[in-house]
Amino acid sequence: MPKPTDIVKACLRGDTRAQSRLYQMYADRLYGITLRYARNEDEAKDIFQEGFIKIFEKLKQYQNKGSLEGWMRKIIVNTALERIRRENKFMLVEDEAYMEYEQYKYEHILEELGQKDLLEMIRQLSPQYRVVFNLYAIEGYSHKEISEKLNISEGTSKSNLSRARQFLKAKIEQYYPVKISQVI
Amino acid sequence: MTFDRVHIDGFFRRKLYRYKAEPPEDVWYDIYRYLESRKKQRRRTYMRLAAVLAALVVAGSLLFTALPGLFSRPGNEQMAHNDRSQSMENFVRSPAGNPSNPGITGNSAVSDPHLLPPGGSGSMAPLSNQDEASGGSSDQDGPSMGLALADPSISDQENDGSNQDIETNTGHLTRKKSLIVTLPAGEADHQALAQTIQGELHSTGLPSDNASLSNNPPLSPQTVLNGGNLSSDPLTGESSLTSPAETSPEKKYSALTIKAALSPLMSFRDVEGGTGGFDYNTSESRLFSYSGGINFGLSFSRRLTVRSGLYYSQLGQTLSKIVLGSDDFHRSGDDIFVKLNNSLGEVRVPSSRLIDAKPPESIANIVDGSKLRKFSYTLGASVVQRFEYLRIPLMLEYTVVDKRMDVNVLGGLHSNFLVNEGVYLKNDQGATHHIGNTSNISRFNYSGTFALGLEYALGNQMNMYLEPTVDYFLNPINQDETKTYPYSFAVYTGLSISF
Repeated sequence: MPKPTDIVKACLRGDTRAQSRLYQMYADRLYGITLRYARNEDEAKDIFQEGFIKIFEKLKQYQNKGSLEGWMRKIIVNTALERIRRENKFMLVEDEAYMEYEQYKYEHILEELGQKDLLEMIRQLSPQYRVVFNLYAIEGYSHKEISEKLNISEGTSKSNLSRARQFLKAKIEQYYPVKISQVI
Repeated sequence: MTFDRVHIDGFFRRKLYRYKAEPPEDVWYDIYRYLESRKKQRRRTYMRLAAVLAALVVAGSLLFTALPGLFSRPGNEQMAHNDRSQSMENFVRSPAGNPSNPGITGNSAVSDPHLLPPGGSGSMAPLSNQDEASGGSSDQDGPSMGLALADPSISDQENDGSNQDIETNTGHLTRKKSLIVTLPAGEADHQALAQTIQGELHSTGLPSDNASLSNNPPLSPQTVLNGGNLSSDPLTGESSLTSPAETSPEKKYSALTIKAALSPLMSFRDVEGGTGGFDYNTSESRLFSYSGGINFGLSFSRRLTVRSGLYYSQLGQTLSKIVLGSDDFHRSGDDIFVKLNNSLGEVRVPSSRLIDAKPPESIANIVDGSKLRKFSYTLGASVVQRFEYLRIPLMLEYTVVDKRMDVNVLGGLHSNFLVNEGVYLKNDQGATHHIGNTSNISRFNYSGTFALGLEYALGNQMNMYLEPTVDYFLNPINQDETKTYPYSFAVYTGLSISF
């Protein structure tokens, strides 16, 4: 199996087979990311396509430092953010005081949830909450990094994350009202 | 076990960080098609660049060869002109007493035997006789005609008095003959004059290959009397007529000109009538776009030209800092619209195209029963109202200054046909996308135009020009109570070609 670096070199020469190979290697993982950021599958498809084209166009900027997948993930995430910024017309003014968190005692119920259920919950978040939750909770960005990326304050980022968690909790309660009440 | 915020984040991360999903099958096909089209596009771009470069080189070469005067320094041009004039003056008899040519009055200089080649001295005798027989044309008031068949180098040497050099080059000079014929004007009929010239040429004994006049069609007597100058290359035997008009430095008058124009364009509007309490000036501002087209002009006199053509222009305005209150939301069936107040016309945009950040059910609440409190939002993005026109001008151009740099004044009307219009949302990055249309807009408008044109001659036929233009709509663009008259400023620039 050819190394990713060899595939990258072949792609840079314009080798169509290498491009196809690169796509096959990473498409499913990168598409999974776009599904978390998009409202629906159509939007996810658009983001994924746009992002992958950017990957091919920027491939010569990849310096073989660090993981290729990590570099591609960043491009896909940034493409998703650009798209959301483009589509998001209202700059919502958020209060910066975020809520204290409740203690949840139904972890085992959550474990029963499948990936698609979780994905569906995330998709129901408003774009700004969704982005902040994705960046912080899943991608591992700090609030400082998020505030720079989204051009918002750190307080707003924290507030959005708090609300996103609240929303997700409400959704989980909606999905499993009986089980949760039994547990609680 | 407690399940706190750390757990919920970790849980989602664990479940979704490595989440994989197969993308739709057609995605790779679309990406592949795009990559291939980019390759072709790149190739086409290179080809176009090469073609443009080649065209520029060819055009530059043609221009350089066709218009040598354009690229030479004025000093050189003047010197060349002086050389030519001097050369001609030395061989064309000027009226007597012309102080500019004291050294060549009459035929004295040419009659100098030192100047005449050995084989040519005898042949010049009849010339002197003719000169004397005519009583010395230099003394006549009427026009006289000189014909020269000589290498201009002789005249230079003659002027310098370098007879010695000429004699040393006898071998070279044997091939060069001079002939000056002085004709009495207004005495004989034209035919007789022509015959005289022919006869004189034959009598000089010039070889047929050098004495080109004997091989060329007879010179029109009228041309002779009109003062046409015949110059001839003694080596090739070619002769040519140069009319006074051609040697005149005055600019050529052209009946037809074609212009190609392009301009940045700044447009805005004037508002008249009731504004419904809105202060549109706080949210509306000018729009920068472009305009371009072609235009042809028919000249009826040296200074007056009528112009028409076809132009494409984008006009409009930018709406920013738009404040939306709950009253601006309306329901139409299942859809909720946002009304954007502006001075040009009514713009209704589906709320989903403007608002994503707010859950839709909240908007529904606002519209249906105001369950939520009244609110007002400031739209973070700006909105562009753009109107695309095809415009046909009818302009009168008056040339105020007619020099190498012309100054023109233009005034007239434009017929403006609305071909497309749209309302676009523009984000901070400058990207725009269509969100709606402006209703109640006229499809046809007249506008008055005034312009000042500066036109610089690049050559006999080509001009470069700069045309600051102001245009004002004469009838309102909308059909509302509020009358709005767009206006625009442009600085057209381009090339014009005269025919």
